[in-house]
Amino acid sequence: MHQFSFEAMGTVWAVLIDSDKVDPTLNDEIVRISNTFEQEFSRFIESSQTNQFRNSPAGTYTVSPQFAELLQFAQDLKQESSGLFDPAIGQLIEKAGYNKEYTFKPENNIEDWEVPVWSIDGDQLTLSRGMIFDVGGYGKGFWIDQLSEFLFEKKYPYHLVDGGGDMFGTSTREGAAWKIAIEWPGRPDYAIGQVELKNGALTVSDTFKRRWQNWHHVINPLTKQPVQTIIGCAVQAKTAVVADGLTTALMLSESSRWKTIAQRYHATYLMFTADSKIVMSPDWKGTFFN
Amino acid sequence: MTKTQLLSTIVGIFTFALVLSACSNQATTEATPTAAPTQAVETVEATPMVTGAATPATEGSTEAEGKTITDTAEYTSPGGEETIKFTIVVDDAGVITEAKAEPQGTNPTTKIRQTAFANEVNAAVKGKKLADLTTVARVGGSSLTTKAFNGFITEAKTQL
Repeated sequence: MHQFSFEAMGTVWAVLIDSDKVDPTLNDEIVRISNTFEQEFSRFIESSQTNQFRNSPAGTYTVSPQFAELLQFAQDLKQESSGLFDPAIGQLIEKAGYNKEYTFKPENNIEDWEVPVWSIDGDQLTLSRGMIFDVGGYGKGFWIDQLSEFLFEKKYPYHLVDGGGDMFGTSTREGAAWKIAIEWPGRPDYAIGQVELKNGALTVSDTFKRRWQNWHHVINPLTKQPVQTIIGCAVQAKTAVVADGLTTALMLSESSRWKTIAQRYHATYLMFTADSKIVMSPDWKGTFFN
Repeated sequence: MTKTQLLSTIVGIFTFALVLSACSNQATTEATPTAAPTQAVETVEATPMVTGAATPATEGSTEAEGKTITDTAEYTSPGGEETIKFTIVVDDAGVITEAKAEPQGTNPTTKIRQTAFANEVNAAVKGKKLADLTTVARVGGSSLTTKAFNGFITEAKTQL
């Protein structure tokens, strides 16, 4: 088993490849293309594509094929979640204090901020005003899927790509699933259970990390407040971008919407509520440690 | 996993809750394995405390249509006697859609626990220390944060 780790996009990545031999240049190449992706799409990098419309007037602009793909996914999920999932909240997160200066001091006028309106059609992006896109969560899932495709192209079909606790795995050479433990929300040295990942993705998010003052990183664009009723979420789906997008969308949505949204994307979920319930979709596959 | 297996998994949690009531605080020493499916169904149906249509404790949980089954367990914690109410919600197809553990105690320790998710559900789902898990390939979790974030957050906290 070949395994290596690297840092990118503000977290630690790991790639596991079940193969006798691995090209010695592979690690470097994975790090290189991952850094390029980060340079292109990080909200923390001034010259990134997600930042390029920061001061743009309203209008229609041509974007790169990769950015168009990211925005098309987001547009679909935004619609399914009635506007609660929206990468247009880049400025809101900055105002809340999670910015590249790491001020962690929420501004006073946050309630007055309005979500910019945008739409994507092919590679044509239309904006209502200047804005910053935040693809922080699901962009990582998107890149996990891209790395998996890259490994296929390099003839390493048996692999697991872990982007800081979100992952996609095919299988081992013997066709066995990857056994993945699920972290207990708010208790990082404990696992609540495990799942068997085979040609699928698992993403887990909680509101305990990336937390400052009374804020954390899962922010409702309509109330301009961080989510209070949900403390964690785990999603299984066919791809990491879907699983990653859905963890955010479900955490922001009313419980009455969870099933519908998940079914639309053929995903399953565990929701950890602030009043200590675990709500699972009926078709969740996995075991709890009890 | 079939629905029956799913049922058995969650009823396994419920069974553990019942075991907890019998074993007092020793319950943390041994986890009860998942109950066999047939027993599991019997456990659910034989419980006398089926209360009919569910009234979910919180807003709008559509999962909570069907039957609610509750039981109460008492055990001794370091903070004294505690009571925990366990609730399981079963949908019309017999699939358990929710399992919850709710401390009922009034002593100060319990009150603190009511704000901490990990301690509350700990009574129902025991969990395992990651360090003890030798067969898993990776851990799915909220993403690790960079040194930058953690460093600055510590700094910001000290300024508050």
